[in-house]
Amino acid sequence: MNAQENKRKWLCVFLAAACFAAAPANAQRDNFDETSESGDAISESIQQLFNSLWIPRSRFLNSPHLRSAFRTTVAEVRNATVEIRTRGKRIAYGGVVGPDGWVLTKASLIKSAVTCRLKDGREFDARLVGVDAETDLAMLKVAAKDLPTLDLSASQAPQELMEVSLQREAGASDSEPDDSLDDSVRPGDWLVSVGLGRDPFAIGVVSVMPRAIEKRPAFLGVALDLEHVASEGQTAGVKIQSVSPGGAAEEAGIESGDRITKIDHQPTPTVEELKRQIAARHPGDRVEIELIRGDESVVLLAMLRSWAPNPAERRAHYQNNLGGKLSGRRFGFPSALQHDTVLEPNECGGPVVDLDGRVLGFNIARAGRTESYALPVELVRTRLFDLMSGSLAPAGEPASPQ
Amino acid sequence: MYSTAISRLNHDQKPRRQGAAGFLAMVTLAAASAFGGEESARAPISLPTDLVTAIDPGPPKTVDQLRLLQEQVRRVVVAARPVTVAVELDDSVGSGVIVSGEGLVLTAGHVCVEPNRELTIRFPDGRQVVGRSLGVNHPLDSGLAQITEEPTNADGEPLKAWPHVPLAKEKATVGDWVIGLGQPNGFVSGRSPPVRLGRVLSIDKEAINTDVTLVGGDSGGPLLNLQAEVVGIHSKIGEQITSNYHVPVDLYRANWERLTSGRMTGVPDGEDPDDWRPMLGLAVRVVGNKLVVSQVFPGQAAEGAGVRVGDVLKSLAGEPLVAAPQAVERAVQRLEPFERVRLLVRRNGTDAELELWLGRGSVDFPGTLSAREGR
Repeated sequence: MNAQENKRKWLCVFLAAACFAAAPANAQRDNFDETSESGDAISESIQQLFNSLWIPRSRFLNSPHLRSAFRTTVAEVRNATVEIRTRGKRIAYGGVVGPDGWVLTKASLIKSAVTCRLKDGREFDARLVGVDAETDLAMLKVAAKDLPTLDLSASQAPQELMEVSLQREAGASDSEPDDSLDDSVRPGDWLVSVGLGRDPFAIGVVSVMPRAIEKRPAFLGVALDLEHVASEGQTAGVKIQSVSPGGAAEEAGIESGDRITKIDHQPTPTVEELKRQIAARHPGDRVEIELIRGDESVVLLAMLRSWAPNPAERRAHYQNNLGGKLSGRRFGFPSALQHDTVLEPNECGGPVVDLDGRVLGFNIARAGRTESYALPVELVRTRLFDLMSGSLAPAGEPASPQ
Repeated sequence: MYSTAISRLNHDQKPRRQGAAGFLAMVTLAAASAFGGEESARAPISLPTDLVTAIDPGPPKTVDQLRLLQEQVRRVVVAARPVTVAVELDDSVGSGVIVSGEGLVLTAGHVCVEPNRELTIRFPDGRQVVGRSLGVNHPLDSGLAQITEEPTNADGEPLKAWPHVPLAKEKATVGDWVIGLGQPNGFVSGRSPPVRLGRVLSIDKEAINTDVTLVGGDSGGPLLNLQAEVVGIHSKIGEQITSNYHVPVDLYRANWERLTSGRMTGVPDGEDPDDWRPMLGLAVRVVGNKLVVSQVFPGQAAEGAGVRVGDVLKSLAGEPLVAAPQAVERAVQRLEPFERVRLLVRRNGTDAELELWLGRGSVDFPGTLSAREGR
């Protein structure tokens, strides 16, 4: 609780720093940083080229050499791993969770009709049968029988019991704790991301044991006209007073004076309703925005952002995006195991295993420069029935090619 | 070479507008060094010979070899995670690692910003203790802080010494397996310092480059070898995911004297050295043939050393002070900001020698000399 309050305090400090204390000199300095950082990207890549010429590939943790050492680890699980594809291109990985064609993957990566490609080369059209918004898991169904299936029975991974472990760890003298023979997963353990290939496509280690990942507020990046009232005969909507530079709305093409009438087909007659709709979503979520511009009705697609444009968050955003793309939907999970595997967003959705090939979870997000998240297998187990039963069936049927 | 293209890992930081504050008296410098000859220093954990064979040369090739490495990484995490701390100032957030029983904390230069600032050291479980920054070397981005409370465990019970990990006696070498800890993106309640594993890709004079991924907030956190010894401190990142740079621990060692005595080298990136002038924090007037203190400014070096209004100043840093209005300014001008000097004063008929930790000033102020006048 105390820590929570402190965190809030820090947030306030950041905001205060950004809003009040930032003298003009400071603001300039910040701008200077940003331009020089991007401006020097070229010299940085030259440096990198130079470095890469001199560093043998085998020295990198994610080298084919080290990955090949995990060949026996993934030998079984890769039989039950699939590639989720759209128009012949992989958009995600997935795992077979039922022999008659049940495939689990990351929901927000599925935007149109998909197929599932198995290790043996067969490829099936897939039907989207369930979407769990809370975990961002999706269940696909393909018309196949007797598929190799993932074993999701791995025992409970220990939760992050920090205080207990800290006391023990801090009190420990030079004698080593006798946990090396323990069967359960520990921070620092290998975590292997399985694809269809002989060797895993990526490896890393467990960074933090499963914990809840806080939802972050999503921003559209507009200032609303609070005075606006729809005139007679007009559809009720919320009028945009101004659009923040660099925000989601600007990127989507929203202009000041536009009147937003619907978000994802839900009417937004009032400011409160619009705010409620945005607040219910996550940064990275794509929303369909219906608006009226002059006499025209316009539909735009916007991707909500996780940051308000203040210098501290901009810098954090900038640094977290150095070195690779992040998943759109990457915050707000009931429980996730954090690991340091470098993933592309389209490499999420598939199973992760430990050194013994036990399925520990499913990659669910590339969340930052240092972190990827996997949903623990014990959480995944609790969602399977609802995802298969149709009780979480998506509203439309966007992905059911017949 | 690459420093211009690389972004420092501070989570947020703004230039300080005011001079250094705080009470010198609170800081008792640990005379003992965390390097060699220190009995309280924790021994490195041993490296099984099987593992040595498994990782030399090249990466492990079998699952059994991978398991040996995994078991060793577990041990390093158990030893180093509880002493990996968040280092928080009013305007910057970073990480650090406790490296001596006396509570010395290694961190990055840009996390401390300057010597003699109060800071909060936060343990992974959220427990906070008070500390103070000691030496800072900006060109190298090295920094040192000291916990100023008595050692306690998570329950607040007294301990003989702060738990810590040792500094590596040997330099890191290319290809070494290394573990990174820290508080990426700042302290997050309920999250222990995330573990990252990688290898040393290259080393040059001023930095170790690894594929242990870092991000803002990690600065100052430890890079550890497989014996749970600190080999580097997180400093900078670049465009590539493998552009992670750490200050080698041997540069701390080479600079140890200045770091432990709370000296500053260079100024923060992009700042004007004229904003970093030595400051005494007092004003004088000439009475007859004496130099008498007429004002002691709150929160400044002179107050911290116990100087009082009415004291007669006799010498500063061994240099006699003549009774002239500019005498103090001239004497201070020859010193560095945050230098530690002796001030001889005469008070109530007796001489007293005061220990003074100079501050810094950015504007003309009694006790400093303006840049235009002086240099």
